[in-house]
Amino acid sequence: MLEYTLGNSLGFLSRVDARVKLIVLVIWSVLLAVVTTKAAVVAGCIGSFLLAALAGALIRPSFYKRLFLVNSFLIFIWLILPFSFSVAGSSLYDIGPFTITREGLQISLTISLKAIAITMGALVILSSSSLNELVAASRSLGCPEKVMSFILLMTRYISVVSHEYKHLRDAMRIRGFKARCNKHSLKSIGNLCGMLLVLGVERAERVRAAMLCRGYKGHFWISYTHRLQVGDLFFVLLIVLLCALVLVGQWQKHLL
Amino acid sequence: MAETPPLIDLKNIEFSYPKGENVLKGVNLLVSIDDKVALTGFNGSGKTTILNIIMGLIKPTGGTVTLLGKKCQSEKDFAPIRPLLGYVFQDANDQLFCPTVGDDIAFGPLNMGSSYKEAEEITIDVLERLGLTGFGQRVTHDLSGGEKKLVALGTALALKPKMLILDEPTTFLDRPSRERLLELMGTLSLPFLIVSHDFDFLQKTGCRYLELDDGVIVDRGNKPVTY
Repeated sequence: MLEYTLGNSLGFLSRVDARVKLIVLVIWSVLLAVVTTKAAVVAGCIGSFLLAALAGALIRPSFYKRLFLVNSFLIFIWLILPFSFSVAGSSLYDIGPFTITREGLQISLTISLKAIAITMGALVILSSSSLNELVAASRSLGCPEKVMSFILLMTRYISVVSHEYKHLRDAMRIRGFKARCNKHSLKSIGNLCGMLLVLGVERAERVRAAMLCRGYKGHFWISYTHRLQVGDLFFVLLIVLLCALVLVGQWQKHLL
Repeated sequence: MAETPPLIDLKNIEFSYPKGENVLKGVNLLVSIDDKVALTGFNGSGKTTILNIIMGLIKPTGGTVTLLGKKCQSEKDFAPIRPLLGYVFQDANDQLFCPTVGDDIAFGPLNMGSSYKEAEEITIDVLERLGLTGFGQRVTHDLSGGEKKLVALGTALALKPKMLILDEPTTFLDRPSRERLLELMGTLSLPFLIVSHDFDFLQKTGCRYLELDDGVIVDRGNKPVTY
């Protein structure tokens, strides 16, 4: 089963207008991506952490699971980057023929902190709205209708496709199929993928036919009816404060 | 009373797939304004093909389709009539494509030019008639099979159809859901055309039986031929 949100009650954040959330998230993410100093990056991390704490996401196991999943690519960075700069950088440790450099470590750490801060912010802000709301809000902010309908249909049918996959997979299993590294397995899995595609195309045709039967004329009806409220202003103020904190971190040398 | 044209009037419909033999060899089908019709026949006999021809989703190779007294040939003829025929697909997953139940029921009325407010009122009304009050915000893929079927029926009802066309309505349904559907069909009192093998269900609707046999339709009256 798909879970779109972290739960219905992500504190005050779930009541904030989804349009405000989207705009704020873009500003916050871009800001964190472009800052260069250590102080600014740390401030960003603290900011995102604060958001998560306020939203009550820190007590949810699914929050950490998702955070880990989206950040798992960082492992590769830690496997490669610390060993780079071995010509120009100052070495810290030697492990056999490899050298860990100070610059390599610093860059790895900066990238990791930035990635975690941005994804944490995105997770907290986005998962406090339903996908429906987010799509409608994006639409009202001017995202193309085609892209939005694409996302809506995809999220609607991904569970149907996974159901079909499970059915086919079970049907294979009860006939004694076990995935091994041989020609038969590869061919069977190829057939399975092919059949999923065929079923998908057929279903797409039936869905379109059903839509035509209800008078579909090429227009999706996505509307966003919420209005801005005082609570949205508080959220914006909070983010402005956090942004200010990050900017102070970025320019502290000039300010102090 | 002025003469009301039949809802569906198929004359000498023929159909064959590009590389296959003739599936339909001169089908005549008349569904009048207060008719209750069950269409039965073997698997692969072409029942769903007939439904698709009625809805204008595929073109017959011969014969004429007249819906609500209007001869239909092109997409332009079919488009305004389709919503009035209340077609409910066999697999509700084909019909319900919106994230929430409310969106799905509102989709049809919005297509027909209702405002968002009107569509919302229709949605609430339809859900109430289905006994699903408060389901508007439910996520479609979380519903049970029976609920999905009812919602699919609701998406058709939201368009205020003149009849219902149901393709195998009781497949995937358990007994309570079937009873619920049966009860609903009774209260709606709309004429219908049902394609089904579920004779137990059909019997309770009090319909007349047509059998599609070897490409033509045979009238079986009130007694089905069970096989």
